Amino acid sequence: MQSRIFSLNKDHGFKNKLMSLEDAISLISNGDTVAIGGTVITRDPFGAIWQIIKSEKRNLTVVRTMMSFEGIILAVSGVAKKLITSWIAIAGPFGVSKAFSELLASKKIDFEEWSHMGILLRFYAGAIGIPFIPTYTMIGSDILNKLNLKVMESPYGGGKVVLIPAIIPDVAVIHVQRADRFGNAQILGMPIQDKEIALASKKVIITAEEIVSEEYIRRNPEATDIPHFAVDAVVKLPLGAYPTECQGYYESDLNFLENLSRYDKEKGVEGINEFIEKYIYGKNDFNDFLKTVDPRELISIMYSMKELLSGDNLI
Amino acid sequence: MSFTKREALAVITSRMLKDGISIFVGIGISQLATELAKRLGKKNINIIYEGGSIDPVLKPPYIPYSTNDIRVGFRALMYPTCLESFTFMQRGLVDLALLGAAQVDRYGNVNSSLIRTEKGNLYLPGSGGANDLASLAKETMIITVLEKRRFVERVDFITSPGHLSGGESRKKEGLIGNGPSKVITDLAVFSFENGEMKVDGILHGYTIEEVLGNMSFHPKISKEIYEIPEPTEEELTILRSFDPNKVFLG
Repeated sequence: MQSRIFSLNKDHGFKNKLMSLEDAISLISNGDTVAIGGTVITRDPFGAIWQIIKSEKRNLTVVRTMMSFEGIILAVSGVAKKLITSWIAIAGPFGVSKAFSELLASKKIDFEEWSHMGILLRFYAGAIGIPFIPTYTMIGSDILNKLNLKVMESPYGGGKVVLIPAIIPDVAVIHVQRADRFGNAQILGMPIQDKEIALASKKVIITAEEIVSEEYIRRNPEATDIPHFAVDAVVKLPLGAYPTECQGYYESDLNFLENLSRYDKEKGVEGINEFIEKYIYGKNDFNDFLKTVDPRELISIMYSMKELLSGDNLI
Repeated sequence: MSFTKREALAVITSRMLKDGISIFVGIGISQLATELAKRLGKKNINIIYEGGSIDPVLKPPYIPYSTNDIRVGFRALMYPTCLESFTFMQRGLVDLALLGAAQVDRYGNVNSSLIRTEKGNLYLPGSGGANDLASLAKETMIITVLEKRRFVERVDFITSPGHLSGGESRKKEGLIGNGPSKVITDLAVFSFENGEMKVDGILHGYTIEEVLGNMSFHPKISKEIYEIPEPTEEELTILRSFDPNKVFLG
């Protein structure tokens, strides 16, 4: 109900929501619950996350269906006080994070583990405006034992069900391939769960590889996943998912993740702090950060995406 | 032809897969094993990935990094949402799910969350979809190398429920999936009898003592253990062609 009332009090008309990344991120307040779109290293909205860390937000609860390095740097930087997810590692072949293990061991971060489907259902219930949804997953596991969820006999037959509470993030941060200035957002390739992540949240920030015209959207409505009236901010941000993949545009940059993983493996929390100092605090803005990337690397990840799509039409 | 443990694991797994079923597959050995099975004639296997891809085509040397990247999307039939890939399973459209394991116990309970040590907990990446596969698939197979530290009497944390405490305990708890039917390793294949792990087959050239020497608990042992033939040259050649840079097979 809380999110319904919040949304009913919002302006749902056509409004130009194009703004700077900095202005968009100012929609996030300290203490908010922030949902992150994409999953693992697919369409991680890293440009927005970069700005969240740069803006020194504090005490955020960060929720993502499966986390990669972004969850780790949000935790180490002191931005996040709690992470809610089903999986967290640096991702790619780089495995468990030493820094994150140190944070967990020293209890410097609250961590809530769900199953992947469990957390997806939280967003789904939020997106369709109901307080919970029943499921059969997680029964008999220590994940369920730790979460302290309600379990009941279904009143309509079908046995025992787990009641998964909706999640209502204060803000969702989502990177898409295309959006218009009103916030109609199109995701190419695998949809992951961004539509539900956006619709569950009170406010939605969209970063996009390209800003297209309203006409363009009207010619391709089947590709629109998130409608403008659910969106609060639109940011033109080419390479906004770098170093993770943006289907149709570029693959993940594994060399970048390998570099980050060296900081992690060698020095743990201290190493990740050095990384943040060098690549975030030491740079003026996200574009300044992107200039540290070898252009040949960018060409290579764009080329391999092109090769993987050759012969395929993704939309 | 010599082979690594992971190559043996992939080959043995590929032989255990039935044709004409839908399989929920993870990245790494289970993907390579399923692709090998398809290439060697089980053409009617249908693959589902949790990141949201139905039956894509593997395009070497582009080995996927995770179950949701474009490398599992090449020439797919459909890109469902992540939630849909799981609801297909809850709905009864998935016959088998392949699960990895950092720890597995005699009842087939799997841990991929945390290992308790004297120096404190060692944290692993967590469930991802593993718990959902273990809860909802009609049947699961656990795919892992046989190691003492992995095959433990009791897992430190039940990330993915197997047969819980054996017997009828899984069903009584209310789980709708049937749980693990097999544990496949690089040295031996196990089934479950009354919810407890039982050695069924052993790789050519190895003994039951060597199998037990790689486990921290004593499993049931079948009266007639069959011999698993070594991976053939054909199997290994095809398998290696999928992963030329040895991302998963090294």
